[in-house]
Amino acid sequence: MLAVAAAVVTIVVVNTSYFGPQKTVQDYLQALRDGDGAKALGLLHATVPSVNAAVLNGSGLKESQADIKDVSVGKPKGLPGNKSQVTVSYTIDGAKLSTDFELAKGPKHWLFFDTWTFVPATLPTLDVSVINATQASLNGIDVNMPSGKNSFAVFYPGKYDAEYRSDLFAAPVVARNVTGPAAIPAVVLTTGPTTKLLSQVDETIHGYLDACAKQAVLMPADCPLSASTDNRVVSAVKWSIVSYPEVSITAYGGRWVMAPLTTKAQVDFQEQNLYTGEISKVKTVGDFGFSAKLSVTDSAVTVTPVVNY
Amino acid sequence: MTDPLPAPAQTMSAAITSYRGYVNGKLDMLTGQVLTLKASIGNNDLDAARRQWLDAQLTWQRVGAAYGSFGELGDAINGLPNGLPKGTSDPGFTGLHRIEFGLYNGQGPGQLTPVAATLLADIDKLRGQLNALTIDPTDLPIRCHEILEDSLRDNLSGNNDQGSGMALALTAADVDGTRVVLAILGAMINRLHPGYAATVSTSVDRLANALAGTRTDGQWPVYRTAALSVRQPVTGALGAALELLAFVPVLFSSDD
Amino acid sequence: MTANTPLPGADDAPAASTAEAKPHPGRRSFLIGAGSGAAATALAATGAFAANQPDAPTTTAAPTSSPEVPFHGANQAGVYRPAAQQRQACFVSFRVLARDQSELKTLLQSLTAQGAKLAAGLRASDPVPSEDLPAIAGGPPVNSGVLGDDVPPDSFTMTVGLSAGVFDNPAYKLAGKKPKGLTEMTVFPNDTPDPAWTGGDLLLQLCADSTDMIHYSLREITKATRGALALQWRINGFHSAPRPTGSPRNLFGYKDGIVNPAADDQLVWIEKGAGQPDWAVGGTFIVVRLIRMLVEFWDRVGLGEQDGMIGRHRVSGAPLGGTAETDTPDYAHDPNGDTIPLDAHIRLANPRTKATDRSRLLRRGYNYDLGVDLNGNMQAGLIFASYQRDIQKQFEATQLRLVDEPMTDYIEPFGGGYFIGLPGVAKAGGFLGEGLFA
Repeated sequence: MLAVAAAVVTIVVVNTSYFGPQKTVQDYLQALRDGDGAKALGLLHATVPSVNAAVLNGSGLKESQADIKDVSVGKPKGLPGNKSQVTVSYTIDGAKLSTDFELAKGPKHWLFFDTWTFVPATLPTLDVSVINATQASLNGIDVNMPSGKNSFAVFYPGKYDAEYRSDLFAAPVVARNVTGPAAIPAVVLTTGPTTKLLSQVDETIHGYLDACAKQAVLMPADCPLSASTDNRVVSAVKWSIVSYPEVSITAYGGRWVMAPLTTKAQVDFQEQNLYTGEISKVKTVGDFGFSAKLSVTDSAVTVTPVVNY
Repeated sequence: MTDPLPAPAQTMSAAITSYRGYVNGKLDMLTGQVLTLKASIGNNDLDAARRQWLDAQLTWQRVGAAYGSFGELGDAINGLPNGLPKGTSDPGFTGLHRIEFGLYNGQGPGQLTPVAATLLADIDKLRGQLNALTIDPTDLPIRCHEILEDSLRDNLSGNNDQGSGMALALTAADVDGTRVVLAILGAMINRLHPGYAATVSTSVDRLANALAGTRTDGQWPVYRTAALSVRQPVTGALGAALELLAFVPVLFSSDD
Repeated sequence: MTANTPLPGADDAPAASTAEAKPHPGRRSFLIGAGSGAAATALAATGAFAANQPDAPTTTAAPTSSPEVPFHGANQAGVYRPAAQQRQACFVSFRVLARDQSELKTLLQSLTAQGAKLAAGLRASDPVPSEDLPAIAGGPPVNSGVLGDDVPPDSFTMTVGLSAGVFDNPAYKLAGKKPKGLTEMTVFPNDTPDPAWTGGDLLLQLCADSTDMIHYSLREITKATRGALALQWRINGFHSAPRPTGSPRNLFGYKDGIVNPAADDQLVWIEKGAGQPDWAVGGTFIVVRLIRMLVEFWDRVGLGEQDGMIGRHRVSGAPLGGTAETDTPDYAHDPNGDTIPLDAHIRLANPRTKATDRSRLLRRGYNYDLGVDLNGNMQAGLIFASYQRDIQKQFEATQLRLVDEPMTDYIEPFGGGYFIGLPGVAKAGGFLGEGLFA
């Protein structure tokens, strides 16, 4: 008699701890860590929305778990209708977060051991848009962004890093911590010029203005610098750039545009008064404005200064 | 499929770029669908797996203009056992039709999970290669015609049926794929022969309606057992559409 | 061999030619004529056509002598003309896919154009009517090329019939024009109908001297009407040479079709005042019966028994007791069937009494030899085709007399149908069945 009682006790103990809902949740979390999207989907009994599945499997999925630390699978809490709630708490980059999973009792395994399955849900969608680009990367996976947009199905819990990086333009990383099936705030990748691009453009503008300043005339050709006098210029004209313009490149209407530029320059020359014959030195500092057109290809940017007289 | 059709391209290279973007989108969708399929197989939920297999197969049918560029990966993803030495037991029989065969011939997660895993990997490989694949400029006009010739030859003949009998559904997806190519080539077709794009579209629409007419409550009939009166409007409309589609590659051909 | 230009696609190099388009190029173009259904409406020539149509030579060799059976006339060909039945035939049944009267009319116009064209034959050097030119050149070739560049007339005839289904289809609004007596084919007591060989809305009877002409013509017709017709069943047949003389033999070894009414016996063509709609005048009812002969069984039966079942001597074809096949059996002096059994086929089919005189019909049958049945036996027999002005009073009356005849053990009627053979097209410009739309 004792042996049977002991067996029943063992079964109850094993049943509640090993085959409980926590085990199902643990299996699911492990599948996420393994990057096994199909197994995770199967366990979660989730519907995949008809969107991009790039981070539902493989390295993109694995990456979503990389920053999830201090995972603790809580004790199951009974819910009406033979259901159970298991709360998983964890931290992502120091933030304390949690996800509640709802499970239902399934048919008994080997007559005594419960099976617990997730109550089906739909995976949430992460909407990402990127300015002036048709590609991005999500958790390290290169993804297409047709017309600068795409939507991605994601598992939870998970951290999803979206960014865009190319030689000339880049957008800073935007991260989203997804803790459940609720709607996720959309990600906008604000693309801008890289320092490399800015310094390239800066160099071009510098070079252009320096070449302008070398022209020993009052109105250097194709340049914003200009000076005039009613008197006769009796010396060489010397221009010098006092300050170079600040380059600013922004996205506009699907293109890249440069803000108008202003340079401060000084002109030195001697002039002779036509009436009195007196020779005087002229030294004038002025602000001269111009703009530049940008032409961007995949690998290079051309800057064309535009001067309006 | 209610996705909007792509805009007409003005040059063949723009057409190829547009089509490549379309294929990218479809392969992204296919990944999610095969993941779901694999999950259902893993859960031994074979009824769901059969529905999800069909969803995935139809997505693949919709990129019919690109088959020629996919090379061996195309066979790995959608090959048939015909011509393989060991037929359906040949290890070279992989991909979507292999899963169809398993789901309709009593196989289960044991046999099909590795097939689904390989399929996922092959689709991933194809997505990685897609932007580098060469699509010949003559491909799009030829495929515009031949996608539906292949439907007649392979789907409606029962030749590629691995047990599902879903020939009509596959053909409807082939019609979707043809419509995408027609949309992309439409402006160029009209430049070569004014009004012809609309003429062809009308006959393709008639075929689409005939196919839709075979469904009851959204279910496709099993083609082998469908009545003659169900099949005749489809094959009739298909024949008529093909006679017109046959001229699309002719228009683009450079020999005078 | 004339210096005919090759068909496009027949060789890779474009023909060296002048670059100008001539008004009437050689027959290189893809012949989708006006009025051949949806396909043609789309491709109707706009008047401008592709450049590089090579020169057409103006002199051609005389066509090889190949009889032409006129397509046009008060009655369709393939019934009383040509006088001698052609050696090859094909009976094809189609489902009509036209959606409304307008599409049905276009279909009939298309068939008319094809029938007339095939009957006349064509030479590759003949000028192409502009409405037959494709709007897009360089496409698939003019025709299948199966008969070479010049297509001989080859005694080709096309005979078109419509079944009750067409008149019963509300989409065509022809209920009021349905001929009297046109029903679904009756199933007789000894029949074993096979759904794969029955049904269909439209019959084409194609006859010609050569087998390749039969293939060619069906292929041309289906291409021109693609989408408007769905081929449902078809069976090829052959009419043997006389062995050694007289009427040809069927696959039971007996001379068949010896007795047929003449045209002026008024048994075949529908005439005014015969109780049929006006549009049907000049037409006839066509009954097609596909009859399998169990030849292995037949070959194990004694000759005397065979003769008795048929009612004729096998070698000569003469009625039992007679000497020549054309001898008239004398039933009046054989009331107990001592010479020709009372249940012999020819006696039951045509008792030659005054009462049964008006039940005679015109027969124009063909042997067929298909494949193999489930048990490795030959699938061969007779394509029975009869033409009469009243199905019930002629064909059915005859067939009812044959119920349970001894020969029924050796045959299995498995297919066919009842059709109204349309009146002829009197002259060019008309079309088959135009009376239906008047």
